[in-house]
Amino acid sequence: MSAAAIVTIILAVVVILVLAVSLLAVARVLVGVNGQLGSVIASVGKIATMTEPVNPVVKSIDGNLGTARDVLTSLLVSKVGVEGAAELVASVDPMADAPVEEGTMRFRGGRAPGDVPAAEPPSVRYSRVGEGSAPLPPAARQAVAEPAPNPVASSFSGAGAIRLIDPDPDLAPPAPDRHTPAPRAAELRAPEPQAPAPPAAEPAVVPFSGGGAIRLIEPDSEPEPEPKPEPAEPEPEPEQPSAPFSGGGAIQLRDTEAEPEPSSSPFSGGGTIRFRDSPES
Amino acid sequence: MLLWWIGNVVLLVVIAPAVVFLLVRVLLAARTVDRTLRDINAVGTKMVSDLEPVPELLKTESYVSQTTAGLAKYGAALDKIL
Repeated sequence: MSAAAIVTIILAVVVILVLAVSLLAVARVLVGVNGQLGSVIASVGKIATMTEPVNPVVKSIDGNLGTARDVLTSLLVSKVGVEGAAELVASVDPMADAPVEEGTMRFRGGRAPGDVPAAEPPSVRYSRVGEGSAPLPPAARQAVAEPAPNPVASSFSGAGAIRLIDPDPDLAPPAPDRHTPAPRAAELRAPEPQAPAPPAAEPAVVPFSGGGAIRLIEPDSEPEPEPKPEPAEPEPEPEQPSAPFSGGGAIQLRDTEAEPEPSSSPFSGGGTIRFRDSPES
Repeated sequence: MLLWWIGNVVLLVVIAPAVVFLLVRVLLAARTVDRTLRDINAVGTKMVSDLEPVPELLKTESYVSQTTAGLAKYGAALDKIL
């Protein structure tokens, strides 16, 4: 055998060895790729399963919120008109002067997410009686002074009514634990409208977050009679619908004919809240 | 005989480096795919953990429905009052 033939054979063997080593390395990498792909496919399957109800749920939430917005908008427009509604919303919206993106539909101060301030002032404020409260305009005083047909029951969404009573020390929740996350607002749910409250002798009292309790009382099923022009004897209601409150205080809603007992109660901030239907209060 | 030696030289100088070059390219590509898949797997695992609260959307939907119903009643009451 010639030397050239031996060299050829040696070169061929070397090339084949290089090929084998490289193919083995590639095969090993591909095995790892296969395992990773299996894990990725499993993860994608989990993601698909977990996100399956997202679209209809978000659509439902969007529909509900849109309905609520439309209801409130139509209510506001029916009361003060389109122009008046826009002005009114702009006057009470703290972000009314915020810059708005072009083309953004904003009826009530629609703003970009980046425009939202860190701490917005609360839309509802409570102040101590006679302190820091500007007198109401005559129209508003008239509206407040007029007794509602069922002021308590109509102000609550569910089948019951809310009456704020003095905090019961037995029902007071424990002191807030810093390590315990605060209950989500969604956990505070109103009673189901379909389920009528059982006619219990003592209304159910539910402890509330701030030391009070919520008493759910079934509203009067029959409509209240027309307010008499001059009632001979003001007859206070034996039991006012009430619910416990968070600040350790009490809020009581009373009718005009009720006994003019002071209904102010301490509030969490140290003040009191007084709800009265009578114009002189 | 001379042609045989020429063939040997060509095999050693051209064919073998070309084969090695191609195999290295394949190996590098495979390793890149493996590395990318590891990243995708890590992201997918994080996504799965991030999506764990998604079923809570059902509760949110229920709460929004209740809130909307209460808001509608509240608006109706305000409509009566005002």
